[in-house]
Amino acid sequence: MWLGQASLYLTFVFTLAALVLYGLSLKNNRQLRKADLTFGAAFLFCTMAVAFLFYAFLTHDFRLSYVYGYSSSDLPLFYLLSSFWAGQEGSFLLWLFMGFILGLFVIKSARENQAPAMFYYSLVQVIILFMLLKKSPFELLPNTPVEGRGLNPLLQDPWMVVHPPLVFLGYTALAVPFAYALAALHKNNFETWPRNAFPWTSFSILTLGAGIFVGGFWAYKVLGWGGYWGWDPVENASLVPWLTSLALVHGLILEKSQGSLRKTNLFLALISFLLVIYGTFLTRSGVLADFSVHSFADLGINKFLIFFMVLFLFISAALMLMRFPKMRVQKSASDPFSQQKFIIYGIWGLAILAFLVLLGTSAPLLTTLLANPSNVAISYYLKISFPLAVLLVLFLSFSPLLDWQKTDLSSLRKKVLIPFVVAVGLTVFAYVWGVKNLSHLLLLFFTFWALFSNLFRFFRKLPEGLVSTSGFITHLGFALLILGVIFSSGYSKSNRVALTRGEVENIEDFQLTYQGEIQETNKQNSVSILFAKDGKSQEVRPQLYFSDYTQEQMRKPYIQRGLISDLYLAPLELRKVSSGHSDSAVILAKGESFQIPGFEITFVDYEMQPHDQGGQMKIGARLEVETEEHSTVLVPYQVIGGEQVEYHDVTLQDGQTKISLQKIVADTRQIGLLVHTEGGNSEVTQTLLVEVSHKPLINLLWLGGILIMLGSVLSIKRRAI
Amino acid sequence: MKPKYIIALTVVVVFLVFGAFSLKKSLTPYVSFAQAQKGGTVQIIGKLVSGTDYYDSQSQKLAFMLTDQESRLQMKVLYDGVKPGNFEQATEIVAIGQYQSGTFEAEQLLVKCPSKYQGLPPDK
Repeated sequence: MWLGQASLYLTFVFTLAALVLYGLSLKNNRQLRKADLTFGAAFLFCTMAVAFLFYAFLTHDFRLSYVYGYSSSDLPLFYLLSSFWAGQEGSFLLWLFMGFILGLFVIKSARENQAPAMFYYSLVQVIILFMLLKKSPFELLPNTPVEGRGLNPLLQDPWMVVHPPLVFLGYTALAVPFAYALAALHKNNFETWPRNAFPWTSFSILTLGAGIFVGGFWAYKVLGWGGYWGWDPVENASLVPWLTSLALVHGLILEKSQGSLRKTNLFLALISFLLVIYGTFLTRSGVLADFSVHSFADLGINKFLIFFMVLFLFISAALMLMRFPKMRVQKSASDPFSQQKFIIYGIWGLAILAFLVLLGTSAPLLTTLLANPSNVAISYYLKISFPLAVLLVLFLSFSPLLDWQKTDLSSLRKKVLIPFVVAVGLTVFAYVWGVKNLSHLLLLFFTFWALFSNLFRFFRKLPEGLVSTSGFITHLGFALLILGVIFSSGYSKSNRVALTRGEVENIEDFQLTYQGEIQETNKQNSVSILFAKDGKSQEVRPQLYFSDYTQEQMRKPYIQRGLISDLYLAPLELRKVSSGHSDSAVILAKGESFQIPGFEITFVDYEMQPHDQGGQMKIGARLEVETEEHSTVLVPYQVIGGEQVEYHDVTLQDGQTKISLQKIVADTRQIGLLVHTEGGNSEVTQTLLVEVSHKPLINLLWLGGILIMLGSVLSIKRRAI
Repeated sequence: MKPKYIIALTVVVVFLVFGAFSLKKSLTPYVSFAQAQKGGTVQIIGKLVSGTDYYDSQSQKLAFMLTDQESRLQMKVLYDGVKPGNFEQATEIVAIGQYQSGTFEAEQLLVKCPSKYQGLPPDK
């Protein structure tokens, strides 16, 4: 597989060459064509490297440490392909590859900004390549193992095929507005940059957002990740740049039409990508290993990541300091109660939210630097996001009703009325339904209001074409998302039930019967539960098994999807209590007998004989063991006379009961036996502990996500060059 | 300075102060078992005393004993939630929560396992 490594080196050489050539074209575009060709060549070599790595996975080339570490020959094709990005090295290669693809589009569409934009863009690629060469997926093992370690069963999921590429596509796409912002600052010409940056920002909102939602959906249906959103550093690391790019996209709308907010936008474009690098550093460098459920181990690329971060931070800060003081800015002349101003309020809201989430995520790092390493409790995120969510939906409920520059208050009163009344009605309804928490009611009220303001404006605007409604669709999605979050997390009813095998358990309006374990062919075993409701019954099989790969218990719930509410059946633990597991002592005289399930055992007589030359003695008790079919004679015995007494026990036909001769009471001619019974299948009671919960209105969350994505697609279509 | 800037600045400052305040309150420092008993939301880290975990059917909570690696102190932990997947195999368990009358009430458990998401090559 030296070919793969060679293509990686060639990619590096050509990208570096492209960087130099773009650098030479900064003043006049003399070398531009050559630079583009070189960049194209680098793309081809990168494609080759990607193809080689795929090939290595498909042919199970376990000489490669990476292929060995993340796949095995029994892995289905589907998962074999996704093993590509199961680890650090492959993810970086994927990131690089997507960077090249998007780079080609930038070349096509950048026009007069091409040289500087591609110069900074290539710099990003060069640095990702540095890290890839330091930790290459083509590294060879000293010897070839026969079988790979396999793919983490948590990652063996169809969503694994799409989730990481989407997230990395989003990360890569943020490098484009970043490069355009640097290019604009570099050239000190800001006329075209918002038009260039806008579709890419929307695109990264789309892809990164889709990645986050797919990740949430995946985490919802696999128990190991702990629910659709857990405020885990890895999740936060993708959320923060997403929030800042949401702020950026709004700023760009204003800049394109009014020429205002230029500095804010440049700052947001720069910080969004810097946050991507920072997030990568936090989650990939191992600094959070003590604090995160899924952070990665340190691969020795920390220094590169820090270098990467500091370099771009330096370039960004230097260019901003150079240009900002002399920049001419257009002041927006709008009324405080206008759509323009509300967009600005929204930008502030998003930026503050992003900052506070970032602060929480960085807390372990910051506190380690200052004093005692500390984490933040999840309650922190709930506390800070609540008031900001209220503010953001408040802005959303007003902004579609306001006029662009100055709002005529009398016409506003008319427009506000219907959404307001509907929102009041629905909030009262929610109160009657069971939402008694005052702050929840407040958030609900504004969310309903935002929902209906946007819904009415959507229908008003629809005749002008679907594309023109993109903003309303996205904001509708945002309101639905918040509704879904409030209800599914705040009003989820759950209780834990112990199901004894074979016994029907009544829960609410249905019955559950645990039927036993099921051996699946892929070793991902499940438990069989009979789910009966309204006279209809169906077998459901949530997964519960021990994974050899991760050395941990894996669980996957059964989810019965409903329009209003999902029923979530999560297996927690399978307890096997053996009724027969016991040690019992029995004292018998000659001729006496005792019973254990399935056997009757009678003490017949002693057996005594010399053991070997050393004067040792073997004393046994002849036992007649009767089952219903036949009887046998077994002799447990002791060897005495040595330094220690040796006990030799016998095992009954069931394979689980052992009898040893413990005592010989010579004067009363009795024996003491110890009967040890292991838990056998027939006598084990299996109890399955399940958590039964309802997730009301969770579908609104997914629907909201889909609408946000749809809105982003439409906004790209609407404002693409 | 125009009044609108003052208002904007005030709002931002209020939020930042609020954020910093919440952060300070939500910080859960790593502490020893002895310190944890003084109260407050903290993180403790320790080894599971094997075989001590069971479901308390009354409170529906997971109960287990943790040993402090340094002081050898033991503490009973109650966790209202699902037993983490790799619980028994954990090298160490982090519990985040509060000490209340004899037991540590955990809100969150983090299970530390060697090389969880990293494929380790065989001995080189």
